[in-house]
Amino acid sequence: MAYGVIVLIYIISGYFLYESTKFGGDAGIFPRMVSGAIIFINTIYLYQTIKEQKENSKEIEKERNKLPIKPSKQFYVISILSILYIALLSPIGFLIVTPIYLASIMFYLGGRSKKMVFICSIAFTFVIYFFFTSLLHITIPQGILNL
Amino acid sequence: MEAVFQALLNTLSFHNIVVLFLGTFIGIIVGCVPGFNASVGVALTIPLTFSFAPDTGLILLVAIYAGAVYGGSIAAILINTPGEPGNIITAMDGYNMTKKGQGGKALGMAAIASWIGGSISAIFLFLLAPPLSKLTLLFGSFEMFLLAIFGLSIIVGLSKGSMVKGLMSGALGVLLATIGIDSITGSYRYTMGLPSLYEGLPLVAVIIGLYSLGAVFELGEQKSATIQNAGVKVNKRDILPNLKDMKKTIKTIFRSGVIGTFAGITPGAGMSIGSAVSWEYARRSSKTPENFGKGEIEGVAAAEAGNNGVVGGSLIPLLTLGIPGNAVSAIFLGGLLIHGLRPGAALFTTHATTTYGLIWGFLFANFVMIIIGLLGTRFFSKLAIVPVYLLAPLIFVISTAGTLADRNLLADAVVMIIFGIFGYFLIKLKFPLVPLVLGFILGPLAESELRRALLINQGDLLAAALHPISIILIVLIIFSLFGTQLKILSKQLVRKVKKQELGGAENI
Repeated sequence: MAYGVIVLIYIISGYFLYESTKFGGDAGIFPRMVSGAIIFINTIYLYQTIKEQKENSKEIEKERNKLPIKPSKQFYVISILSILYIALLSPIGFLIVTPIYLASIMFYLGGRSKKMVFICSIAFTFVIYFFFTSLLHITIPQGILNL
Repeated sequence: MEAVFQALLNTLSFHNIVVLFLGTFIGIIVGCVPGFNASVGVALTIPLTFSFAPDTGLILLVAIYAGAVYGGSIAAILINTPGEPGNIITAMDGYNMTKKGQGGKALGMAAIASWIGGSISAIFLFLLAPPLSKLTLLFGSFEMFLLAIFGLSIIVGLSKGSMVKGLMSGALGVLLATIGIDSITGSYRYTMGLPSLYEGLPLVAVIIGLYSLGAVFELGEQKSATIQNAGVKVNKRDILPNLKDMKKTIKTIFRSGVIGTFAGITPGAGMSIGSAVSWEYARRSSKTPENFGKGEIEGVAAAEAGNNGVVGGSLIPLLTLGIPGNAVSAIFLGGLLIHGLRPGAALFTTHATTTYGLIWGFLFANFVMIIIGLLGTRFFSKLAIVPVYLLAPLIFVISTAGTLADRNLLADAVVMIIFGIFGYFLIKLKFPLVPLVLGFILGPLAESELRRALLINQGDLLAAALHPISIILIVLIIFSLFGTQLKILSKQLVRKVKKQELGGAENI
């Protein structure tokens, strides 16, 4: 994973550096300085990572400990459900999507009592909705309920 | 002086008092629920402050900050799960007191010590911040640029793990802050034709994404490892420490409040150091040092007065020089800037009423904290065992609603989730997050000051770098970044020289 990140950082900072040459006036000076610095730091990071791996390959046990921990299954499930939640928030609406999202994550994370999960997901939705719309006057996506 | 009284009247207005109670209450909840912490609490509250005038908004933020630090002690004492890093020390004696059936007394002592410690730091804030802020009047543009870099370098230097990762994290934050229309030339920088990026990446979405979503993923990974202790019953009668306990601890509380304040003022020292030094000092001056760490009430008092002292102390360099000492104050700085308040002398002149309002708010928040803390101990002790499965999705929904509150753009929620995932990978790769956030906050300030300095000095910064203040700041930056390495190097050098001398002596 470390090498992937290093390549990604090179691409991002390279893009920032390249684009900064096109800006008018002195707008490009600062981004150029910072992206240049990042490329430099990234090279040191690359050197350190290679060195670390070389040392690790000699000691298998250490390698196991030092290998970056892979993202967990929970991370993927929560991320996918959360992205879906945000994608559906505007077309379907906060009041419908939120309890579904809350209940599904609660069940996934080990909520056993169905009654508890349902009551909490609906209660939380209404409390948050009331808090943001009535007390703070913030518009929350209404979705199909608005039609 | 007039501003101080005007601010006092403002703070005592009905709606500010309500906000103060509400903020402290939410803060204590945030602190005592494991998984939440002051950083997440303050990050999630920033969007709420848009609905208020700046003074009310800042009172809310500071009340949450103060409440969360005290709230952290509740989970630390009852279930040995410190809510904040500063509460780790509290847990040592506090949890042992709970095991002995004195949990209520420990909670009461934590509330009293937090109140006094926090109030002492508020007094120091009143006394030290205004004169210190005048320092910035001596600073030119280049010095202000160096000051921003200094603030960043302190956080980088103190980040756990590799310094290269800290530097990278900070620099990435600064770079990402350059996205958006340049305010001086009007150039579109890295906007990729997306109108939602014209104003740059939204600060609120970035902060909430990194901190709140980070907490959601972290909680999710705990999954079944939910903190499911049976819960600790706290007797109503047992909450207030008796007179004997107070007599025994009062000196320690006052001393720890002062130690905590100075730990807060020292950039980067933070809560853990504030409480640890206070605890150690109390142990050394105690007649029964062997009881410390085994359920000594004086230990709870020292740790709690110490870490609450840090809160006010950390606001001193933040409000005067824009240097945040820890993660919470870095986010707090974001909150100030969103309301158009830039740290420095102007905070105590042009915006004096708002700033003093914040300080009064902090002083009163400590008082409110003890009222809510003592009355609600039984309620908060139940919150400390809220299961993770309820908490994780709830934080995400509040984060989304909070992000939308900023500009009501769904694109901001997308930014939030991107930064949440980005932050997750950074944590996995052991990159510190605070430099990224701080770089993002301080980046625009650093850039505008640097460009102004370039204009004033006609592109030649050498002359500006040779000013005495610049030289001091450059030395401080180098020291904060490479201080530890320099220490190791100098020790190695001394060892080498000694060896050589010994070798030379043997040869003779």
